[in-house]
Parts: sequence; C-alpha cells; structure tokens
Amino acid sequence: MKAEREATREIEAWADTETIAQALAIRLEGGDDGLTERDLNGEEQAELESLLLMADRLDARMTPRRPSRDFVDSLGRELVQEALRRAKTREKRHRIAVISAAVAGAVVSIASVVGGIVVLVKWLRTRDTQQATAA
Amino acid sequence: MCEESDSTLIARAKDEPEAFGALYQRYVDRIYSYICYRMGNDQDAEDLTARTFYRALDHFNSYEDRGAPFSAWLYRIAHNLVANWHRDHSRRTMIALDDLVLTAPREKGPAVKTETIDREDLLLEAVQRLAPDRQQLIILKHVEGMTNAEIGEVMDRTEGAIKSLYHRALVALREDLADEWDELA
Repeated sequence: MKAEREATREIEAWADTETIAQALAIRLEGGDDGLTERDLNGEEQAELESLLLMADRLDARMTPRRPSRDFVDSLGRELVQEALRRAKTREKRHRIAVISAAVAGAVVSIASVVGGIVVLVKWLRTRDTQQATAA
Repeated sequence: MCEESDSTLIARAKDEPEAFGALYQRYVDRIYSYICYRMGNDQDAEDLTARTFYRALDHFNSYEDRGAPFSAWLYRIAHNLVANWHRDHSRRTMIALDDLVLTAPREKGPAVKTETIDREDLLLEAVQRLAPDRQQLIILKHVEGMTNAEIGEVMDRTEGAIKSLYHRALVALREDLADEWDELA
C-alpha cells in the first residue's frame, strides 16, 4: 500500500511538472496544446508566475554579445583564403588523377597492341617452322 | 535585393569559396555570442569561434542539407568544441588547484571575494553553474531567441524533451539563487 501511494505521488508530481513545463511553453511561445491557464490550480499558477519571472530576468540580462569587427573581418578573410587554397588543392588532385588515369589507359592500350603483335609474330613463326618441317 | 537562402549558398559553397564566406558572415555573430556566454570571456570566445568555422570548413564537403537549419550544424560543432575545452581545462585546473593548496599562501577569504562580485552578474554566474545541456538551452532560448522546436533540432531532442529540460533549468536556477532571489526579483 505504501509503495502504491508513493508511486501515485510520484506520478502526480511528474504530471504537475509536465503541466507547468507545458504552460511555460505556451506563455513564452504562444500556441495551445489543449491546456489553458484555467487548468492550473493556485499552486501551479504561483509556480508558473515565479518561473516566468526568472525567464524575464534572463531575457533582460542575456543580450547578444557581438564580436569585434576586426576579428570578424580578419577571420572571414582567413577562411575564404583557406577555402580557396583547399579548392585549388582539390582541383590539382583531380587533375593529377585524370592525367594518371589517362597515362595508365594509354600504357595499357600500348601494351595490348604490343602484346598482340608479339603473339601474331610468334604464331607466324611457328606456322612457318611447321610448314618448313612438313616440306 | 533578395538574400540567397542557406540551401543555395551551401550548394554554391561546395565549389565557390566566397559562398562559404557569405555563410560565415551570416552566422558568425550568433555563434560568437553563444560561445561567449558558454566561455565567459572574449578571448576564448574568439578562439573557439575561429575553430568552429575551421572545423565547419574541414567537414563542409560531407555536410548534407537534410532540411535542418545550417545554424543547427554550426551550433552543434560549437557545443562540442566548448565541451571539449571544458573537459581538457578541468583536468588542468585540478592539477593546478592541487599545486595551489600545497604552495600558495592564503590571501583573501571567500567572504571578501563574495563582496566584490557584481550583483548583476549573479544570474550569469548561476547560468554558468548549470549542467552543460541546461546552459546550452538557456543561451539558445534567451540570447538567440530560438523556439523549443529550433532548439530541439540543435540539441537533437524532441520539442517535449526541450520543454521539460527548460522547466528543470529554470527551477535549478531559482534554487541556486534562492538567497539572492528577492534582490534579483
């Protein structure tokens, strides 16, 4: 029984937390997930107001910070130069790969032609020898 | 003139370095601001902002535009670099603190130090004491003005999970500032 009561309390506490998390999102972002503030009891309403106050404080204190223009400009230049350098390296590698493939292709083609000629010559010689032997 | 969309710039930037520069110009302020709040000082923020964009450049060719905002990718890189920085420096700090205990003479006590803390910074200090995921959420929401859905994309969580995390973060902040809350409120 005690464990059951504890479990029920835990589920209720979780449900309260979820309700307030939902209500916070609705108050800060608008929208409606089927929950209205009338669904909150007095305690939940007070909790929501307290958290909204914290959110207001954060909004007021946490304004965007801006980097110095010098930093932005110099990093921007460095990045573009680096990107250019890498693009050139990529292009160079691509060109080398294409040339290598072309050279390899040419070598294979020449080798096959030479191989064909060798086989043909050998075949002709063998045939001549056989004919001479037969005669 | 109509501004180019992120998708167009991303597609162009694969071949044109200047387009990467345009993406950088579009997001550098926001990434810097995020890192600055996580680090608490300008020098480290500049260093990590530079590293964020260099890492983005390193991995840019493997980046795939799957509909999620490009900024979400940049924020994730920045978040990982900040987390690595804190992890590396916490190790060094532990060693340094041990040295201090052994060698440094005691100067001002904690009470004197507390008096010098600017009241206005209490809230920011409390934010910096939050767990990293809560800090990230608070900064994205209150500095960058992102919605829960957008934050969910950056943090790779559902919108519902972000709502709950935000609630827990505010409760944690309020508990942390319990003594100063009346002054702040």
